[in-house]
Amino acid sequence: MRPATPAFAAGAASAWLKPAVAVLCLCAFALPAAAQADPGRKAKQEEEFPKWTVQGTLFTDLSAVEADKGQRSPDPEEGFIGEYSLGGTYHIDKGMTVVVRACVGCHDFQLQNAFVDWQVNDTWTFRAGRIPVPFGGFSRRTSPAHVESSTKPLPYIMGGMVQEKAFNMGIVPAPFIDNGLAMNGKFWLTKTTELSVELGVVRGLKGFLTDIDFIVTREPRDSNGEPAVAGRVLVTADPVTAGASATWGRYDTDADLEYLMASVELQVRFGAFNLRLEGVLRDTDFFTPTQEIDTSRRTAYVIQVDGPIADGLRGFLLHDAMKVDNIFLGPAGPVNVATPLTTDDSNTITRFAGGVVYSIRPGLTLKGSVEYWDPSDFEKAIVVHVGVVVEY
Amino acid sequence: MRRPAWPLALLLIAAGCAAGSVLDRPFGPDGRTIRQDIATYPPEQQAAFALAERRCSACHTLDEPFSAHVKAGAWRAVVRKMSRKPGAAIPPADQERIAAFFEYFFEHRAASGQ
Repeated sequence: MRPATPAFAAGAASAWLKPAVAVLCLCAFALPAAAQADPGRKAKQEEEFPKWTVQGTLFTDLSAVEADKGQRSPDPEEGFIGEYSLGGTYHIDKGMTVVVRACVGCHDFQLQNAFVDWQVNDTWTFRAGRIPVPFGGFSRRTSPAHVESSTKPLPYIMGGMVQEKAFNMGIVPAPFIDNGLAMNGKFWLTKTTELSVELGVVRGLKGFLTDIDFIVTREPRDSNGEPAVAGRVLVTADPVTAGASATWGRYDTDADLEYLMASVELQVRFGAFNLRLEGVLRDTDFFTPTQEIDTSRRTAYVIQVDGPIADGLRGFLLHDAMKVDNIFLGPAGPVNVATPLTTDDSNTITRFAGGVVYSIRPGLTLKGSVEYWDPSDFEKAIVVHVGVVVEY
Repeated sequence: MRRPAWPLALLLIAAGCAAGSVLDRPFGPDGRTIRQDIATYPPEQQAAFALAERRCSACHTLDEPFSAHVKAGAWRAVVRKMSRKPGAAIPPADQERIAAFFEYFFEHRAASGQ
C-alpha cells in the first residue's frame, strides 16, 4: 500500500507544478511565435555551432596607505593584491550557452560562474547553476576591467576598505554569486525603451548570530535549507537607465534571522560621460544578549562620474558613504553588546576618490587613483592605488 | 624611518597620463588610430561602429571588444550573449549590425597584417 502523501507536501508540489507547467507551455508557444514575428530570420546566414569563446582578466593592484601611524589599524593592508579570472563560454546553439568562470583573488580558488543560459526567444532567458544574483546596479560591472576604481563602491566593497574588519566590509557581496535559478524578461515598451525584469531563487547569504559572514557565504553548500529570493527591474531609455532591486532570505543555520536588501540605481549618460548613482540598504536581524531578535541597518550611497578627460584618457570621481546603525563595531566586526573596545551603535564611513584609467595597448590597462577615507569613529586615511589590468 | 610609498605611486599615475585609450592611440604599421582607420570604412560600417559605441559602452568601454580574441564567425554569439544582460537594451537588429562590424574590423585588421 502506498503511504499517504502528507497534505502540506501535496500542496507544496501542486504550488510548484502549476507555474512550472505554465512556463513550459508559454515557452513552447513562444518559440514558433518568435520565429513568425521575424520572417527574415531564415534568410540570414546560418551560424556554425557549437563554438567556444574564452575570456581572461588579470588585475594586480598596489596600494599605499597614509594615516596616523600611532593609531593606525592594520586595515587596509598595504601592498599587492590580485584578482585573476579565466572563463569560457560554450555556445551550444543560438539560444543556449554554458558559461564557466573561475577566479583566484583575495581568497582561494573560486568558481565564480558556472551556469546554463537558455534564451527561449527574444524576450525570455532562463538561467540555472552558479549564477550572478539579480541584485544591484553594480552587478554588471564587477570585473576590474569594467570598473574604473581599483576598489569597488562602498556598498559592494569586499577588500581595500579602511577598517574593513570592524565594519565587516560593505553591504552586498561582490561579485554576488550564488547557486540557484533565475529568469530574465526583456520587453520593449517603445522603440527605444526597454523594460528588463529579473527574478531569482538562490541559496542565500550565510552567517552567524550578529551579521552576514562573507567568507562562509562563499562556500557552495547551503546552511539552513531555505532559499532566498531576489528580483530586479530596470528601465533603459537611452541615455537613462533606472532600476530597483531587492532580495530577502534567512542567513543563520536555524533560519531564525532574516536579511532584506534593497537597491535603487540610476545611470545617466551625457555623451561619453556617465553619471552613476545608487542607494543600497540592508536590514539584518541579530540576537541580543537576552536572546531577543533585533535588527541592524546599513545604508549606503554611491555617486560616480566617469568619462574621457583628455586625448582619450578616462577619469573618474567617486563619492560614497555608508552608515551602520544599531550594532556595535569591534576589532573583530559587529557585535551585539558594547565593550570598551567597541564603538557606539551608530557609525559612518565616507570616501572621496578620483583617478584615471588608460590603455597602454589593446588588452593592457593601467589604473591609478587616490582615495580619502573618513570613518566617524576611526582614524582618517589616504590610500593610493596603482593597478594593471590584462585582458584576453 | 619608513618613507611613504604614495609619492611614487602618484608619479606612476602622472607618467601614465601620457598614454591614451586604445581607440585613439596609433595602431598598426601605418600609425593611424583605430578611430582614423574606421573613418575609411564603408558608411554602413562607420554607422555600425557608432552604434556599438553607443550601445556597448553603457556597461564597458570599447577597449574591451577591440582587445578581445574572438574567432571569426563568433561575434554574433558574443554580442547576443551580452545583449541578454539586463539593461543592455540592444534590439536584435542592432545586435546583428554590431556583430557584423566587429567581424569586418578584425577581418580587415588580419588582412592588413596588423
